[in-house]
Amino acid sequence: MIELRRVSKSYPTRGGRVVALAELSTTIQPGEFVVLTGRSGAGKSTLLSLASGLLKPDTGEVRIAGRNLWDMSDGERSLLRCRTMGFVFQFASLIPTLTVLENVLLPNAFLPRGERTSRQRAEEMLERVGLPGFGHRMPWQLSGGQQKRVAVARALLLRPALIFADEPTADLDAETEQVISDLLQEEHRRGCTVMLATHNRELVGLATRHLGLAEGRLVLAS
Amino acid sequence: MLRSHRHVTRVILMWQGIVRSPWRSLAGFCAAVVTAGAFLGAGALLTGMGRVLESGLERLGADLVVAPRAYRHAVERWLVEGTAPSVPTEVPGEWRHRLEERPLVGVREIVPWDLTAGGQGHPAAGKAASVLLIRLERWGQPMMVLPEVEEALPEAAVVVAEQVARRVARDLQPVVRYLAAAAGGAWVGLLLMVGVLTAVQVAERRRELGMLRAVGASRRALVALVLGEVLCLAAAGAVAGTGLALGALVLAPRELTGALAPWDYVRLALTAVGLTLATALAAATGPALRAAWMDPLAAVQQGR
Repeated sequence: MIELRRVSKSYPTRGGRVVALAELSTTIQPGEFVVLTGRSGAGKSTLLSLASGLLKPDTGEVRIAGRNLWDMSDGERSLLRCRTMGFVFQFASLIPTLTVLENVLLPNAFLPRGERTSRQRAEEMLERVGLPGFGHRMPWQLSGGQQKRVAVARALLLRPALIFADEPTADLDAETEQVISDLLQEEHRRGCTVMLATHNRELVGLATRHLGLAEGRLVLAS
Repeated sequence: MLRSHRHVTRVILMWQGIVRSPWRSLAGFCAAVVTAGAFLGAGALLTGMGRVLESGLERLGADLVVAPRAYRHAVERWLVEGTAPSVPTEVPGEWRHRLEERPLVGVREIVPWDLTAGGQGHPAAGKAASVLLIRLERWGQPMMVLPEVEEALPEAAVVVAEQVARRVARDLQPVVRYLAAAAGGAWVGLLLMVGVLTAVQVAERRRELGMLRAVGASRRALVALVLGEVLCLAAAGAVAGTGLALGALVLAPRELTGALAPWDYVRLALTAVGLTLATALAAATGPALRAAWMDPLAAVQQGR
């Protein structure tokens, strides 16, 4: 369960501080599929960053499974992120000098030795995203959509309990969009909590809860 | 291009960072080569010059040297370098008697010395000698003895070792300044170059570093990753630079480096490598900390 209690976040700009989120409170139950919508600058990405512990709120608390994320050390928080969270971004963000399989295995680099997952699991993940046998290729040999699928395989490698996705289907072909949408649904059915920011109507249709944001405030919770 | 894959570790990630921009890495490597080489070269030459002077004076153990006026220059060279051109035995035995008759304060012994074969010379066997070495007690002062000796032997040249050493040190000052400036320039160059290169490297890889944070890299891991890359290049450059400098020092005049012991080279090489690594780390720390403290999601969305 993710609890956000009166969470605020603002960013400094030349013209003064801009409020990205203002005293927002919400609770996300395990197994929910939460979709965040809103215009650009509404605070969707900031909310994802705060909920995942990537960003520290100016005020308020973020709790995961009852633990305040910011009572933990950075090392503990990072390990928690590595073990339990998967991130899908708008851009694939693959490391160009690593093979596809190495990119999928990337989270292993930040896990204790005994907890590392196998290559076989990474190959399975590539199969799941529709790229069997692509492990030896380099990222530049793949199309944008294929790179995005690799990024999704990387996010799901360690069977995360929480998936955060920021515009996961933006700028993608229909086939890749469908693959990602199906994978997110499968993970949700598996019991995974999904929290995603999107403008995609189909993804909004998958939501068990829809949160609408405007100017850093919750304006819709259905 | 097909390639076999490995288990991804932080060391592999570090290596990927290095090979990502070969020209930039090469520039950092070269800066470390030049700096370590300059540190070692300057250190060896400065130490060598001081050591030659010290060892020349120490070997002879003479505080004052009395010689015929025509050989003053040869005696000064002998004091500085510990080796002299041939000086004939023109000092009569009578000079020694004239000195010994006087109550010279603080004089331990007066030794006739033979320099006919040049080099370091040896104690004179007969009455005649090339020069007379005057050795003082530990508490003796050369400048107190000098007037007495000059009065006793007005026809002789009296060379005070301490004065010669001071003059040589003064003569070497421009060289010392040049070497120090060269090492300082290389140091500042490395600081700027590594700082700028690391800042550019971090800025270019913002999205990737943000992604690493998201997949579980702690701030410490990111700092270690960035500094590790810099350290690897600097270490390789520093080792290469000291190696090249050691090779170049073999070609340096023996008068400058001849008095350096093998241990001196080891000590200087370790110091050069250490200073180069410390400089590179200091220059890269700012960009590394910036990488660790950036907003990961904003970094990943860069270019949106």
